[in-house]
Amino acid sequence: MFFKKKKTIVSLVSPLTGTSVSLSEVPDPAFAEALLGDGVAIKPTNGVLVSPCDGIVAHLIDTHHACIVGHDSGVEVLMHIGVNTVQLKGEGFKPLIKTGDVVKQGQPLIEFDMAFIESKGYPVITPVIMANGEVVEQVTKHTGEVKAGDNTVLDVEVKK
Amino acid sequence: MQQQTFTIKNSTGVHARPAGAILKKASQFACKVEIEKADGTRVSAKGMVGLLKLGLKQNDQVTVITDGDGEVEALQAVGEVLETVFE
Repeated sequence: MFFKKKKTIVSLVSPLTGTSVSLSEVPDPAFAEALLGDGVAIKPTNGVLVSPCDGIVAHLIDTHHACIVGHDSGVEVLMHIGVNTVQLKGEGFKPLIKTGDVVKQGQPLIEFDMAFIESKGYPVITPVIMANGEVVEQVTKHTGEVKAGDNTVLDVEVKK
Repeated sequence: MQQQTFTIKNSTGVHARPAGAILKKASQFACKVEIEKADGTRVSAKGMVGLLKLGLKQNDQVTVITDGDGEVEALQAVGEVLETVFE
């Protein structure tokens, strides 16, 4: 091939401080088997979720335990704090943004009370996944210790 | 074109996991699959953001509209997921 198409890669930083691990560690098959989308999961050590990139809040779920940030490239990232936390009906979560807000990489989106959520019996492990896999060619995942807004966890190659 | 009205049965409505199940099912079909809420908001069933934006709650009525290859099968399959109880 003489012509190589230029690839568009979107780097997404960790929305949480903690440890980035494989989705297979999430105790919910919908996430663990990447049925909802490919990505990683973060085991957080503190309760502030920040934006993984510059973008727009495509959706804040009304029980405040999950949100989607859309990047200019068309990539949409779903961050789902904990497992089955929809059941908490918003208790323990404090949103700092609303749907439609323009956000910067590293900007706090949702504060959550880790101790409270765990005391109710819900894991706080947080899947960070592609909400619209159809625009994604390939996802490169990075695991290990991460700092919110700082270390890249996903490099997303966007389809042409 | 096919269309039919379904009722959301899941107690916590359509949040991330049910939305994922709906879009996976809809994406198995080549035809256009759309979901319309009672207030007229209509979105593609093949996108997570659109599905979540509908903010569907238990007992909400929605109309599924399919158009194209496999529209009859898609209508039934997506309707079944909409009426599934996840929790």
